[in-house]
Amino acid sequence: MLPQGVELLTHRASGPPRESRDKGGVRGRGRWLQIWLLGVPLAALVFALGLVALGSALRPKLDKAPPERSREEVALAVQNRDVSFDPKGGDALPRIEKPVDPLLVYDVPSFPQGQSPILEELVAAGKLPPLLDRIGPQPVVLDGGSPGKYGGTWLNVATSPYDVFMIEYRIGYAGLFRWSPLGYPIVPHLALGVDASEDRKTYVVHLRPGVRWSDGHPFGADDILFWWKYDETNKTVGDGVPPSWLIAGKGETRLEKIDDLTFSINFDEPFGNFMEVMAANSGSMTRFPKHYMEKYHPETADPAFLAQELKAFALSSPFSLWQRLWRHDNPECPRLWPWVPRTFSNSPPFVYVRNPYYFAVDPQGNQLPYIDRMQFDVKTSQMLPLAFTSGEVTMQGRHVSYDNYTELMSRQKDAGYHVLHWYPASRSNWVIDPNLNRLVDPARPSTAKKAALLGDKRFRQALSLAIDRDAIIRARFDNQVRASQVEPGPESPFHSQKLADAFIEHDPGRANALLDELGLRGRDVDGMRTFEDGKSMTFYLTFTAFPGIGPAEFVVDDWRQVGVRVILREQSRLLFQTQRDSADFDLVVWTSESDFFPMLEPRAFAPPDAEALYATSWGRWFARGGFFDSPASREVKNSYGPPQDHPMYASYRALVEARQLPSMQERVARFSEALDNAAENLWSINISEPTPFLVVVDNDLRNVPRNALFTNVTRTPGNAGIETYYFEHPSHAADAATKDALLHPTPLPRTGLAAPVATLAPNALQFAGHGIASIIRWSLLGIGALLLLLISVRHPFVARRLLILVPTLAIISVVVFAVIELPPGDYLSTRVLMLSETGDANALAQIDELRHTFHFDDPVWKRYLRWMGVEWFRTQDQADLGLLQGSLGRSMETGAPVNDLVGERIVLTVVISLATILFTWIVAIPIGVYSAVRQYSFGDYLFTLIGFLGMSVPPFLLALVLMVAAGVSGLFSPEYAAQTVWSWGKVVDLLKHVWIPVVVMGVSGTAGLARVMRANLLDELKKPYVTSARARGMRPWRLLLKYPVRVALNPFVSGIGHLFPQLISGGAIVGIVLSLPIVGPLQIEALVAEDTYLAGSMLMVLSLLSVLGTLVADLLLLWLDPRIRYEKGAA
Amino acid sequence: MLDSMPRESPPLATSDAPGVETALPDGVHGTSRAVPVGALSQWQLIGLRFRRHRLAVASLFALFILYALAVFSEPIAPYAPYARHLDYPYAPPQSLHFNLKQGLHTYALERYVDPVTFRKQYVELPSEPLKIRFFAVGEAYQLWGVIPLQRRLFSVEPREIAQGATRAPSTFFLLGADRYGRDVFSRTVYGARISLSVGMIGVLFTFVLGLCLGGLSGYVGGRTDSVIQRGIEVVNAFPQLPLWIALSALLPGDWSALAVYFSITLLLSLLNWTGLARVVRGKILSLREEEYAVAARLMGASHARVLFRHLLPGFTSHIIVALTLSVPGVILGETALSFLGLGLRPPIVSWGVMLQDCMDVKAVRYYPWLLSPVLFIVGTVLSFNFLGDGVRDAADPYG
Repeated sequence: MLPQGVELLTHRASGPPRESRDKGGVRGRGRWLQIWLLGVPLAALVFALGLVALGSALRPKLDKAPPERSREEVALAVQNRDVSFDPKGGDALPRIEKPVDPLLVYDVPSFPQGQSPILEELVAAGKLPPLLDRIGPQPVVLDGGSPGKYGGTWLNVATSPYDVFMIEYRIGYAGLFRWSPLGYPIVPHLALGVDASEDRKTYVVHLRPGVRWSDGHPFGADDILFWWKYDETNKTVGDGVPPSWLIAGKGETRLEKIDDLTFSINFDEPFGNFMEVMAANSGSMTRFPKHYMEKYHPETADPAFLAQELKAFALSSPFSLWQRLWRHDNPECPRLWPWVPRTFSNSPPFVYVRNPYYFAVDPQGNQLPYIDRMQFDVKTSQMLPLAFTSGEVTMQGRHVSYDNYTELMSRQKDAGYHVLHWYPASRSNWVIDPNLNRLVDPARPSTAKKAALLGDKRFRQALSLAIDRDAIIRARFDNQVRASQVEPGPESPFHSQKLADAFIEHDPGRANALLDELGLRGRDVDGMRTFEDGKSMTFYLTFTAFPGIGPAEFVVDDWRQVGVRVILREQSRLLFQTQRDSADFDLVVWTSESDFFPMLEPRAFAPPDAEALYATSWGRWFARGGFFDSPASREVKNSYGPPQDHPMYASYRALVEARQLPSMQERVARFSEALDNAAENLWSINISEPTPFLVVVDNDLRNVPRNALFTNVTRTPGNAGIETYYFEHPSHAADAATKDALLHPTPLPRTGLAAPVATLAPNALQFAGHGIASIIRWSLLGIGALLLLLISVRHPFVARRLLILVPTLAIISVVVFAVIELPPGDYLSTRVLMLSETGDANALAQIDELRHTFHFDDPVWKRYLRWMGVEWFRTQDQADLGLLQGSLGRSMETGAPVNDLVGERIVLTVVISLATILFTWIVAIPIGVYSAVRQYSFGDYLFTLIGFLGMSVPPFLLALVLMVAAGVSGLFSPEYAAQTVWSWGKVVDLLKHVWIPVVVMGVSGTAGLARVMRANLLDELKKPYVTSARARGMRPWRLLLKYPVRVALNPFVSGIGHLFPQLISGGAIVGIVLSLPIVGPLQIEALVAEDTYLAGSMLMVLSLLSVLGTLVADLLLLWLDPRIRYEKGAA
Repeated sequence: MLDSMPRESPPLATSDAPGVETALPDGVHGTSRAVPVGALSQWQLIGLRFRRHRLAVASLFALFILYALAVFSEPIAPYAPYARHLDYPYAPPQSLHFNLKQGLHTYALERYVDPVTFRKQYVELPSEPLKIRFFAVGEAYQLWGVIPLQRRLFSVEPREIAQGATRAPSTFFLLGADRYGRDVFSRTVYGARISLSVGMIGVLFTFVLGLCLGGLSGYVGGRTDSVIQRGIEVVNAFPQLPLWIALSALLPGDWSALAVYFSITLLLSLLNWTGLARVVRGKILSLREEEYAVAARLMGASHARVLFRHLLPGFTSHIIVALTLSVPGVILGETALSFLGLGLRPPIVSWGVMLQDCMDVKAVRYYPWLLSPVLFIVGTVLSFNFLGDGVRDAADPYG
C-alpha cells in the first residue's frame, strides 16, 4: 500500500525523475526559441480548435425546423395575448360586486350564513362573535364566477420588506367605492352610494351599515372625519392641506358628519369626476381607526401615555410614532382589509391571515375571502424570474417582466401555472423625459444652452424623429406592439390617435433639418453637433435600476446618427431623486402612470406634481395650487409655473376646467386640447405601446378574470375580485397556525423595554435580537477574562493573539466608519434634502427627528464614538447604546433596530459556514490522503484538476447553474419558511435546500485544503520514522492514520483561520444568487439603499466573525500542537 | 538556498553541450575533467526546471494566446463589440465545414420564432454555404484606436440571406449571439482586453504596495516592522468581498468609464498586497544578514543599493510567483463585482459584465452559449494557477 513512501526518501517534491539529457542543448536561449516557435502556433491551433469544439458543444440541434404549432394553439395564444376590450360594452363589462336591493337584504340568498371552518371553530369556542354580528346584514356581495372552497395560502414575492406595503394599497383596497376589473362600472364597497347636488358642489356619502374593524369595533363616519381632521388637514401630523385629489378649483373643501353612517363633502367649485376620484383614492380615507389612532395623536392623546409609548419605541417625535403605527406591518392597528397582519416579523416571510370581520360575502352568503393566508417572501429582483417560472407564486403580476416572456410561456406546463395577459393602463413601460425645467447654473454655461434647447419643441421633435422604433420593437418586443407616443390608449374614452402618431416616424432627414434650423450646424472633431457658439455639446441620459436601461443604447445610437451626442449614465436611486428634485439633469428615463385615466393621472399631459419628470418644477407648482396662485406654491424653491402664453398653461387650464364638467363626454371634449398640445409639443418621447401585463397564476386557482386593467389607479389586483379567488384543492396545513395567529396576535416590539406589552405571547425574534446583543456583550467580556486567565498561566502566544484582537477590531471599525461616511450623501441626507424641499411643518419635524436619532450635527469623530457606544459608559442611557454594548444601530430606511434585522441572519450565516467547513474537511482530507499516497497516479491528476477547476469557477455561477438544475432556491420552501416551529419536515426541507450553498462554497475551499493535505502528507511520508515503521511490518493503513495524517492535520486547523473569513465573505454573492437569508445579501441591499449605518454595522459584524474565526483557529492550533504551546515568542 | 548562492558553474559531462566558458574560481586549478565546462545562470536553471513542467509550459502558452487576444482584439474579433444584428437574436454558434470545393465554410441561419412563446430557434441551411475568408478586406477599423486597418483575421463573405419576407446579412457567430445579435466571441475577445488588463494593473498596484511595505518592514525592522506587521494582520482580518462591495457601491455612478476602471483595479489590489509583503519581508529578513549584504554595507553601499542591487535579485523569483498567483484573485474579484453591477458597467465590455446577461434563467436553460466567458475566466485562472505553481517549483525546488 505504501511502496512510494520508501521511494519518496530519494524523490524530489516536484515531478518524477526525468532524463537529464536535453536534446538540442542545455543552453537556455536556443532551446527556448525552439519552444516558442513550436509552441505558439500549436497553442493557437489548439485554441482555435477548442473554440470550434466549444461552439459545437453548446449548439442545439440545427438540422430541422422546430415542430410547427397547430393552428388551434397559435390561435389560442393570439387570443390570450389580445387585451383589447370594448369600453362601451356597458353591461358586458365584468362586474364583481353584485348590487342588493336594500329592502330585500334579509331575503336574498346572499344573506350571511357561511364562514370559514377556522372561524366556525373560534365562534364555537366563544372566542369570536357570530357571523351576523361581525359583518352585519348588508355586506358587499362579490361574485367571482363560481362558488369557492375555504383554505390555502396565497404566495407572493416582493423585492424588499418595504415592497410589501402593497398589502394595504393594492390588496386591502378599502375604498368607499371600487373599480371593476375593466375599470367601469364603479361599484360601491365601504359606501353604499352617493347623492350629488345639482351644482356638483356637495356630495353626501352613505356608508354601509354593520361594518366593523378587524378588532370588532364599528366603522363609521367618525373614522373618516378623524382622518380628515387629524391626519390629512392636520398641521401636526399632516401638511395641513387637503389632498390634491379632493380639491376643486381654487376653493376650499369641507367634510362634515351628518350621522354615524353619513357624511358630506362640500366644494366651493363644481367637482366633475367625483366617482372616479373616489374609486381611485378613497382607500386612503379609511386608513385610520379613530378608536386606536386617537390614543396616539398629539392633540388627543393622554400625554403621559404618549410619552411612555415614545420611549418604548425609542422615537422622539410623535409624527414618527404616528407613521410607524399605521404602517402595514403593525398587528395592533385595526384594518378593513381581507387579510390582516397578526404576527410581527422583521424578516421574511411576512404572513397575513384572514380578517374575521371582513364585510364581504359570495352570492351564497359565505363570508369572503376564501383563501386563509397571504404570504410574502422576499427575493432579489434578479432572482424573481426564477421564482415565477418555478411556480412559487399563487397569483402575481407585480414584478413580472416582459423580458422573461419566453421562459414564462415555456415553463407553464412543467411548473403548473398559466400566464394571463392583462390590459396595461399605464401606456408606456419606458419613456424618455427631456427636462423642460432644466436648472440653469451660472457657473456652468452649458446648462443654459441645454435648457434652451430642451425647452424648444423642435429639438424634442427632432430627437423623436431620429429614433428607429421599428428596430427596437423588433428586438425587444417581437413586433407585438405598435410605435406610439404616450396617450390614453385605444380603449380609453380620451384616446387621441393624433397624439399616438405624433413624430413616431423614423425620419432622420427631417430630424437633421430641425436641428439645423435650431442653429446646431457646427460639427466637432467627432462629427457631433456643437452649440451655436461652437462649443462641444453633450447631453446626459440618466437612468436607474427602475425601469432599467431598456432600449437606451439603441436610442443613443440613433441620436448619434443625427449628430447629437448623448451619454448614458446610471445612477443610484437616491442620487437620482436628489438630482430630480433640483431639476439638475438633461434627460431621464422613467415610466408613465395610468394614462388611461388622464383626469386622475394627467402626468403625461399636464404635470400634476413633481412625479412628472419632464417638468418637476411646474408639477410642484401645480400640486401646491400654483395655478390658482396659492401662497403655498411660492413657499418652496424649484416651484414655478409655465408662462401664461405657454401651451402648457393652456393644458393646465384644460385639465382644471375638464375636471369640473359633469359628464364624461364633456370632459373628453374639453381635455382634448391638452392632448393636442402634447402632440404638437412632445412633452416626453416614447418608443411604443406597452406590452401586456403578465400575470402568473397557479393552475389550481380559480375565479381569476381573464383580463383586467392593470395600473395604480385601479389598485390592481384589488379591482379584480381577489377575495373571490379560491384553490380547487386547498391545503389545510397551516390552519392551526392561522387559528393561533388569530387568537394570539404579537405586538410591535417595543425595544425601549419600558412599556408593558398590551397583548400576549412575546416574540421569539425579539429574543434573537436581544440575543445577539448579549452575545456580543458577553463575548467581549469573555475575551477580556480569557486574556487575563491565560496571561496569568503564561502562554504568551495566545495572550499576544488576544491583545492584537482589540486594536485590530478598533482599526477595522475606524476604517469601516470612514468608508461609510466617506461618500457624499447617503440615505439620510437625501431624505433630509427631500423633506426640506417640501417645506411642510411636519416634514421639518421629521427632519428634526432624523437629525436627533442619527446625530447629524455632531462632528465625525463624535458620531464614530457614538456608533461605538462610548457615550453609554457616560450616560447609561438606552439611546446611547453602541457597538460595544452590542447594539448595531438603526436602519435609516425602516428605523428598525439593526439587531432585530440581523439576529437570525447571523445565526444562519454561522451555521452555513460551519456546515461548509465540515463538508470541506470530509471531502478534502480523504482526497488529500489519496493523492499523497498515490502520487502521480491518474487519480491524483484528476483530483488536482478538479480541485483547480473548483477554485477557478466563480462561485455565484456555480450556484446559479446548480440552482437551475436542481430547481430550488432560498433556504426553505414557502410552506416551511413561514412555519416557525421546527418539525421533521422542516429539517428535511432545509437539507434539500442547504446543500447548494454548502457545495458551492465548499468546492473552492476543498481544492485548496486537499492540496495542503497532500503536500503536508508528502513531507511527512519522507521522514525516516515512516520507513522504519514500515520496515518493522506495521500495517500500512494503521501506520498512515496513526502518525503522518495526524501530524499533517495540524496546518489544516489553522486553515480554518483563513477559511472562515473566506466563507463569510464569499457567501455574500452566493447568498444573493440563492436568496439566502444571511448577512451578505442584507449588506448589499443596505449598500444599494445607501443605508450607511446598516451597511457599516453589517461590515463590522462580518469582520468580527472573521476575526473570531481566526482566533478560534489559533486556539485550536494551540491545543493541537504542543510545539507552539511551549515556544516562547513564536511567529 | 538557490538565491543566496553565488553563480554556480557545475561541471557537466555532456560533451555535445556548447557551454559557456567561464574561468574557474581562483585557486581552483583544472579539475580531472578535460572537457569544456559550461555554466548556467540562475535564470537559465529556473527555465530548465520550468520546462519540465509540461502543464506550466502549456499554461504559459495559453496565457500568451489570451493576452494576444486582448492586445489584438480588433483584427481577431470578426465584429465590433457593439455591432448588433437584430435579425439574429440569440443565434446559436454556427458550425464549420470543410470541403475541397468551397473551402472552410459555414451555413446560413434561418430564424424561427415560436408563435406562442416567442422563443428564437434557428435552422442551418446547407443550401446556403457561406465561405469563411482569412485576412479579407472588411469594414475599416483602427487598431488600438490609432492604426487604420481593414483586414481581419477571419470573416464571413458578405451576402444577403432570405429570412422569410426580409433579407438579412450573412453572419458567422463562432460562439453564438446574445439578445441583440451581438457576437459573443467578439465581445469575449474585447472583454479579454479589459478583464486581463485589470488583472495586470491590479497586480502592478499590488507589486508596488507589497514591495514597498514589505521591503520597508523587513529591511528597517524594529518598531516599523511590528507596526506594518500588525497592519497586515488587520488588513487580512477584513472580509474581502464585502469590503470590495462596500467600496465599489460607493463609487459615484457618473464617473467616466476610465475612472471607474482604475478605481476598481485599485480597490481590488488594496486587499491583495499582504501576501507579497509577507514574502518580501521574510526573504529580506533572512537575506539581510548574509555575508555579502553585510560586506556591501561595510563597503559603504547606500541602503538603496544594498536593497536593489544585492538583496532583490535573491527573491525576484518569489515575487514573480506571488504576483502570478495573485492575478486570479483580481480577475475573479472584478468578475464578481461586475456581475453584481457594482464594478464595470455597460457599455464597457468585460467578462464580468457579460456574465450579467447570464444571471438569468434564460441563459442557463435555452441559450447556454452566453456562458462562454465563464470558460475563458476559468481557463485564465487555471492557467495562472498552474503557471504560478510551475514557477514556484522551478524557482525554489527545495522549499
